[in-house]
Amino acid sequence: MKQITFDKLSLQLDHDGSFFFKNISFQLEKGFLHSLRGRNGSGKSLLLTTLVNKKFSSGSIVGVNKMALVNQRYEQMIAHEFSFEKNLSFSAMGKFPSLFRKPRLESILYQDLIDSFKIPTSIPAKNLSGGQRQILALLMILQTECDFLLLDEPTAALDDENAILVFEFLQKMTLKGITLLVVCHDLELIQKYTTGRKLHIAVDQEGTRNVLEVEEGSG
Amino acid sequence: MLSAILEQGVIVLPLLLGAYISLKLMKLPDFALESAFLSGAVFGYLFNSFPIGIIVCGSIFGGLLVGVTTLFLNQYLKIPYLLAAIATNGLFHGINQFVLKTAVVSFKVPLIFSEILLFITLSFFSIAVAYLVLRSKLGYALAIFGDNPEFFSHYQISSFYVMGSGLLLAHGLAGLSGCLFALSNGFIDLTMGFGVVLLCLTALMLGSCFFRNSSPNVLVPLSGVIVYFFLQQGILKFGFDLKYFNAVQALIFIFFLYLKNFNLNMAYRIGRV
Repeated sequence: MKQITFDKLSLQLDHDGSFFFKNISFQLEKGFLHSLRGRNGSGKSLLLTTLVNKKFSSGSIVGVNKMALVNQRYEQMIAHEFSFEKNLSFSAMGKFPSLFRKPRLESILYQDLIDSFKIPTSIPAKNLSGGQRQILALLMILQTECDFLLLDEPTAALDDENAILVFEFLQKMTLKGITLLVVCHDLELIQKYTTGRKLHIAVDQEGTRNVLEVEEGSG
Repeated sequence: MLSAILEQGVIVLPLLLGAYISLKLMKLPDFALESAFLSGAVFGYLFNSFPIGIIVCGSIFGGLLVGVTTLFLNQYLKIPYLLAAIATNGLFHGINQFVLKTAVVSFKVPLIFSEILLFITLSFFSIAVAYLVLRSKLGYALAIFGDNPEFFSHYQISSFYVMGSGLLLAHGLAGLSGCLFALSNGFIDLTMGFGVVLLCLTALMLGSCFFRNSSPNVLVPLSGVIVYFFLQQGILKFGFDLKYFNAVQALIFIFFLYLKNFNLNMAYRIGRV
């Protein structure tokens, strides 16, 4: 299967029973970088959280083994006092960290990506740049062997240089067969790095629920 | 002097190992260690007609009870940790008073070998347990908890398991130390737990001067306890009255905190941070 299919997804709000999304359907090609944009408050973050937690009221997702969300607060995903290498081993500790085994990865996934970006792996994470810490958070999630990553504004807190670093890293990740759906407000970055579909989320004309559009000329 | 350092060191070492886990690694404001220290002695005393092994288990159980109570208040009743620890202290002060009936109770146990041998054996046992835990995944998870408590939710790691394991270990060791302290004195005093957190903080600060790595390291409390009692005995040699030693501890503690902030400010000024 070369596509991930989101079929008739709906999210009904608990407090008033109204639909936040209703019957949203779209397809994403595997191994591409897809982008999602929309105004503040249009429900981008809620859509991503709903997808990753599979908390939608109805509908289905087909074609994904493991999905993970890297949210805006990527700093929360890192142990800042520890090195890049140590952090990578921490991500695969399991639900109940063992009392008898040392934290160690059998093999670091995507070692070549770490090498190609020349990230110093032995210094504490707190001494890395924002872009490098964002890459570390991404790599830590990838050690859990997921194949579809949802990224909520990965460059929101970064300067231009670091934002480009992160997007170049994301692009290389897609070459490894990982599918990405990235929320981003920077149109220039979206135009330059989106290799898959450009999705746009907006509130419908009645203002009652959110609709998802696939922009023309994409995909 | 050396024998005094050795005896006091081995008595306090389990407490310090526990404090290293909760105060230093997990960065919790763990005032409940004072209660665990006293409860360890009191629950050991409850079994004083039994063999020493049962007394030791009783004391660890006393410490664990304090840990479980604090964990319950914090995790289920959602009381902030400092307040939960203060409430636990109050609860267990009452429980211990109820058990002992008076403020001071004689606590002597007949032993078939020397007391110091027992203390050394139990201290080595504590070091072995702490060493094994701290180098494991769980040990590192405890350090991550102190660094960034939000970390676990992103990787499906049970934060409750990590916090619970750390607290139980820390308070169990504190309970054991309380029992050794009472056995060494020959009595239990209801106020014997007062000030032990300050002792722990001072000793850990001293120990941290030698080992700056953020990875869990059993040598931090070990070196801390040695330097602390060397300092105490040194001051005693100069004819200083030990009843003022708490104030000296506080001054050492303040000095190190100031030094740390000063270094941090300097690092900011010269652009290293």
